[in-house]
Amino acid sequence: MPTLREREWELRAALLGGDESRAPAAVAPDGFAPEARLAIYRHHVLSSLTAVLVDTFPVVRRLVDPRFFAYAADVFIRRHPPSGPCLFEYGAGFADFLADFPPCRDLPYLADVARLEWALEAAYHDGDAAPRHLQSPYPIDTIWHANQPGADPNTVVHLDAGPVRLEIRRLADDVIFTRTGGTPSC
Amino acid sequence: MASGVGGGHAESGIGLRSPHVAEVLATHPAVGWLEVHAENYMSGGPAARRLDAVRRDYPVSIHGVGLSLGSADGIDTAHLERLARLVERIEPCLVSEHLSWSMSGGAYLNHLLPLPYTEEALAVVSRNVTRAQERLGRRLLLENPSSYLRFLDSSIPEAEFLAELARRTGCGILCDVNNIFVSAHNVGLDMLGYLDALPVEDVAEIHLAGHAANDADGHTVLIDDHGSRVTPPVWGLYAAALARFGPVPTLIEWDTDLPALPVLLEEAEVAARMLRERPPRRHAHAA
Repeated sequence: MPTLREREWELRAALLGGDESRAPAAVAPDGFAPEARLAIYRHHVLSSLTAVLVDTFPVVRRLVDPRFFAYAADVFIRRHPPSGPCLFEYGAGFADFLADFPPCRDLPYLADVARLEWALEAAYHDGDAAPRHLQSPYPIDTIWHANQPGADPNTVVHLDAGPVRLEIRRLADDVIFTRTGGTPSC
Repeated sequence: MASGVGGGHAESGIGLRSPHVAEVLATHPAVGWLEVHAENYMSGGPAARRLDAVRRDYPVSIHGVGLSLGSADGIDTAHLERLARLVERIEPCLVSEHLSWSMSGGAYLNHLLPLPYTEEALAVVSRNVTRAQERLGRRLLLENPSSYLRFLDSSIPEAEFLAELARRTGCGILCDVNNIFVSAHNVGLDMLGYLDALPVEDVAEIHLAGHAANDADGHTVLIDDHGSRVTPPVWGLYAAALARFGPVPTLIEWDTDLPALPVLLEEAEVAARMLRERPPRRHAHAA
């Protein structure tokens, strides 16, 4: 009989990818297939973690389309599952992942927008009030504003408008960001 | 020992979710106690401050979902420390976790995953529970999981596993009545036999919630989604639980499709009525 550690490794592999062949043999069929039983757990793991990323990266999701976002999130979660149970810490690596994700190579500003969204999330949960700084060759603040609910759908963003430097900080229960360098924005 | 959360008689409470926090602080609804998920209050964000305000008005129970007491790797020291700091700050009436695992090889899978109920697993969980209780300096309650599969290795019935865990570690049991109902459908359990196998004196909290019926591979599977009212058969099983355990603090949980706060309070009031109607525990503590 495998050890408990081996059982847990088998189930982890069946849920996140890797060797999915071994876990079903350990499961009692009890009327329907072990694979279908494992799929219930897999669905919960992937959909709940995708929901965390959807909440943290709404502008990225809008920029790439929700269906593509779900695909990218699925790949990210399988490669980089959370390292701990505090899910407000999950997503720190998503920007770097997008930067290297071949299907996103035609959206060179996408990873920096993700960095901005991550900085907003991290600043919200950060107990210490020190501001965070971010720079990008793209006008990511303008992109962010143009993709908020209620934004003017006819906003034109000039990707060659020049680099920006942003300061992100918590203000009471909100997080705000301002340009500290680069071309003045409208 | 008093069976009520704040001393006195057992009362019903609701799971407090972030969309309801402002309303609870503003309107101060009449409910016995509130339960929160530990991991939502471990950051330095505004949520932690709001929980301190809630705690000034209500007894608060801390319900952890991430300690992974079933991990063969052992529990994560940093996470246990965070939980200990939260418990020290909030001084909760109850602290509970799950009979499950969610961490393996440094990955957190965000689900209460099932254990094979073996002697080895019993030793692992006992060791982890003992370590957690020593650090927290108090008793943990362990909740029975909702199950969608059963391991062929399992040699100990789940309720007996929990009873033995309580005997070895001194932990209490959080009896989730909806989970018993869901698991009974999905993996085949005798529900009343399950209640009978739990030691009366160790059951210190009850959970109630709604579940969904989904199709999986042509079979109906009950999903513990906490997304609707408690179903009539689960209220029936709750009555059986009260008949066996006596009045035990009872929580209404709702996580998916969270309704307006008054809906949760209505559900808690149903439980409160049943708690008042039930006779005290049949099994008195030894003098």
